[in-house]
Amino acid sequence: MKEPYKGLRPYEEADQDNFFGREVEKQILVDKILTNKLTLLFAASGVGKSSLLQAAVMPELKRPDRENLTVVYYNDWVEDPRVTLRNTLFKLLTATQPVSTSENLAEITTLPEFLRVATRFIPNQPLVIILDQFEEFFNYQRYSQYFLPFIQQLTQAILDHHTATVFVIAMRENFALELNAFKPELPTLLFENFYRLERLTIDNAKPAIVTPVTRLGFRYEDGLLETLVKDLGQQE
Amino acid sequence: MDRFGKAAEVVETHLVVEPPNLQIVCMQLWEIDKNNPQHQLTRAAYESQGRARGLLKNYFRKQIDQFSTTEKPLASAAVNYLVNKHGTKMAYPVGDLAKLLRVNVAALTKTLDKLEQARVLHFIMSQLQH
Repeated sequence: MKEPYKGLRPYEEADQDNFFGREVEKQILVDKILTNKLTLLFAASGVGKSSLLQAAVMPELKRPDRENLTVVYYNDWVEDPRVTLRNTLFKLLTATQPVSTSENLAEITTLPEFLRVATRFIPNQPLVIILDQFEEFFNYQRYSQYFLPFIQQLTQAILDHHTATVFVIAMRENFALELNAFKPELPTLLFENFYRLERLTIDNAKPAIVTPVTRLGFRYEDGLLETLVKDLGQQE
Repeated sequence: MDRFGKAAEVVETHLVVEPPNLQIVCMQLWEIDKNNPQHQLTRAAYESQGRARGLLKNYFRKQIDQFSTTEKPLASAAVNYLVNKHGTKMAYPVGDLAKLLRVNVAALTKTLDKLEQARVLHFIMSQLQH
């Protein structure tokens, strides 16, 4: 039998039919992403940024009957992100649509230039680039040789309004001041458009508890749900 | 306590739920009752486990029990380096952390793998922040 809950693992795209309680947050975030070049998503650890992005926001942006966009999700900050992000983009683009070999996409090394060329091949614009767990970039790269060059390239890409891209940077809120590293290049744009994801309200927690088991033909005994959400709300 | 010495009541409309707590508790309730022929998650099971608090404790006890007596102090020491007292995660290459802890890389890797599998590090961080 299928498991109704994910435990402590984040919900992924494949879990979209089993992810509940974040409908409002999903819609707000999608609207922000579609109307801004850069969206910052902050939350405390464990609140569910990655789950919201992967199991709700990404599927919504990709919906064929809606925006039908190409979305890149990236969260690997251990190696040089100039290389690994570009490789991730390249793999996704070549896997999902025909990319002209005459453009020599594989040989372009800078992120802004790569995106300028790559966006010519996506069927619907903009290309959405989600940079999740961005605090890890500061954890791993703060003192590395890749730190400033990546910030410079990412900033150039964000400021390139001629290229059909939008960016989402998601990170733990206690790392927000680290974004000061972008301030010289992005003095105003950086905090123009941000969203703070909160913990689940009682009303949001109820569908997250009940709907996954309802889909399997189960129910919570009368009165148990109310007791459970109240108890969970009082846990620290 | 309020200014009249009366115990303050928790205003339920302001209660919020930590998603990891929800997952841990509901996952265990499901495990207990998933074969219930009436297809019902029961209050009896919930009460028998000590309600939400008891289920959270059970979960952590099970995770800790996976570590051998030699692994427990290593896991504890590693967590002390990887998560500071403010709940901020600190990144270390495994080799560097092994040197700091004066243990061999293989033993440390095995212990870190167990922590990761249990998602204990992530959860400890979320708990430390509240």
